[in-house]
Amino acid sequence: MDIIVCIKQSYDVQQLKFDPKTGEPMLAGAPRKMSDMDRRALEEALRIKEKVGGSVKTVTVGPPETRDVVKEIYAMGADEAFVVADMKLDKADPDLTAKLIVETIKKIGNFDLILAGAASTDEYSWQIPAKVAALLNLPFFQNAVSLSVDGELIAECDLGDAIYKFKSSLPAVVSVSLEINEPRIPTLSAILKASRKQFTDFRLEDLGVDAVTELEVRKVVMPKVERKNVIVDVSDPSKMEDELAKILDELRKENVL
Amino acid sequence: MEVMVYSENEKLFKELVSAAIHLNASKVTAAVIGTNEDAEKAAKLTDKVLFVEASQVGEYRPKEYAEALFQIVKASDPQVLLIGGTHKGNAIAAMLSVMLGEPSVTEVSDLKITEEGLMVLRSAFGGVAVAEVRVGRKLFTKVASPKVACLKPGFFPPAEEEKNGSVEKVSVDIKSTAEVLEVKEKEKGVGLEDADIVVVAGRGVKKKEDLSLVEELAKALGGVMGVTRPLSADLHWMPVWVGMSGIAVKPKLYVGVGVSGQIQHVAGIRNSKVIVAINIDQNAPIFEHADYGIVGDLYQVVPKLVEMLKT
Ligand SMILES: Cc1cc2nc3c(=O)[nH]c(=O)nc-3n(C[C@H](O)[C@H](O)[C@H](O)COP(=O)(O)OP(=O)(O)OC[C@H]3O[C@@H](n4cnc5c(N)ncnc54)[C@H](O)[C@@H]3O)c2cc1C
Ligand SMILES: Nc1ncnc2c1ncn2[C@@H]1O[C@H](COP(=O)(O)O)[C@@H](O)[C@H]1O
Repeated sequence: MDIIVCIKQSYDVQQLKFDPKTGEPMLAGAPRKMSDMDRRALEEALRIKEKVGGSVKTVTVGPPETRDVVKEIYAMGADEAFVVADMKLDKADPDLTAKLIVETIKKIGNFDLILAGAASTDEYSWQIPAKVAALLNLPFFQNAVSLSVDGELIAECDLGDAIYKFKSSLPAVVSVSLEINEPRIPTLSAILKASRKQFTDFRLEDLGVDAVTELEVRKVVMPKVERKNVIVDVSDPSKMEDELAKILDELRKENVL
Repeated sequence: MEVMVYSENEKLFKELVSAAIHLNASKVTAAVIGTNEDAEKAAKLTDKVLFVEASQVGEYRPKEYAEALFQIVKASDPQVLLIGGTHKGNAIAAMLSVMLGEPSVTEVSDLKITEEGLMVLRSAFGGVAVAEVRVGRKLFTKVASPKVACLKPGFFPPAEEEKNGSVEKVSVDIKSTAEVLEVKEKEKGVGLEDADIVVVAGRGVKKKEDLSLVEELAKALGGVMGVTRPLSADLHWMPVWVGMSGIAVKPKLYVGVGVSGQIQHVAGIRNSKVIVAINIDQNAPIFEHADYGIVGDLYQVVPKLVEMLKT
């Protein structure tokens, strides 16, 4: 089974800082990490390969700093990583990203299955895997919580109100949920070895794609919510009741109890 | 301007109609994949219904449904296509937008038309921020090629049934590549969306049985209990969870019990009036988002609170 996994190096939203005055995110040099669901997609691909053989290749599209994710991709055990990096891709929209992924996949050639995260940690748009499928005219299944490939594909997908069990021919595109597996933690020696491995580094010109976008982000702000931040420590049992009583009083005063 | 709306979810469908009216649509068209009855229902809310019999498409599969909707869109001339931002809606929107050669945008909470085209607000960076996004360079580029926007639930009031639109059947021929083997419906949630008081249990709760502790606190406060994503999606202790990818709540009082306050959870509780957090770790991020923080062991604090509230 030859599998291609779409892996994004997302902003680490948990660590993202916002300018206290303007409310805008401070993106320059902000920390990034492999998108959470993509890590599961890679893990799932590796498990399938370990079971039935084949290969695991990855595609990453983004600004130059996203190349960092390759080390981790190799440390987890992927066979070959492909990156499309360009400054201009900072402003890529889902259609452009999907197109670049698809052009890279065409360069890679043969595959049986494309895996991706259901939604990326920063954009959270739920769009790219489905667009990749549509561009390749392949069936698509979203938010898989379990997957089996045995000649054909069986995917159980969490669609909110219900779990759908789909059966499909291959090749197909499947996006995976956070809960599909518990991703492996690479060993130290795997990490050391990974940093020496080569990867394919495409430019936009190599793929013949212009950086045209239809979505333009005009402004991003974090709406301010003021909180009182009254914190009490009740670990001393003799004071617990008094402290809790004070908080209940406050809640009554605020008319929420 | 014609705006077309599609959602498999009845409530969200009504919200989409409101959003279409908010966009000043001169004509609201409903796309329906379903039964005659579904089409008649949609006609009470819209000017026109274009309707494909579900039997021609079969059960939900993303590609097949996107193709059916593509046929519906081609049978009319909408400039904007609003789709309910459910799992199904998001997948259909993405595939359909590629078929149409037009952009799509998801997680939308508000939208308007300006001289520059369709402008939307969407959540960004794990749901804590809001982005203003222009969708497409111009609104009208090609005939029957609308911009596609997926609306999050709960941002527009459901429209009233006050129309009597025409119903037109569209016949489609879909080549199927996948089949549905089984649909396991989930239990219904407990109405967290509209609750005044919400108490959420997080992974600080060690065993499923211990949820009863938190449930008792919810009862003593006169509210309902929810859980974080790991307790629901991983451990299956409850059918739904609170947060960005689950249910966004907006109670008067939110109490987090053993909840760390990761950004995706906080994104779903930020519209609470008052936030209380109980956590053993004084450095837990939830305290930054709390009005009242209680540093302590939930196994001691929660029973004590229940006792105090009962007397
Ligand atoms: C794309 C994406 C979407 C997501 N969407 C959501 C979402 O919608 N909702 C959601 O909830 N999560 C969501 N998550 C997951 C989120 O990132 C966190 O992993 C999750 O919220 C953590 O849940 P938790 O607080 O229950 O567990 P933990 O983070 O493990 O926290 C447990 C807390 O309990 C405290 N604790 C332990 N023992 C005790 C005790 N005896 N007494 C008191 N406190 C104790 C600990 O100090 C800790 O702070 C999402 C993640 C991603 C990547
Ligand atoms: N820039 C990217 N490079 C590679 N894969 C991506 C990229 N953006 C999104 N993806 C894939 O598409 C999934 C969904 O992303 P999104 O549509 O942004 O929510 C991610 O989890 C990745 O698997």
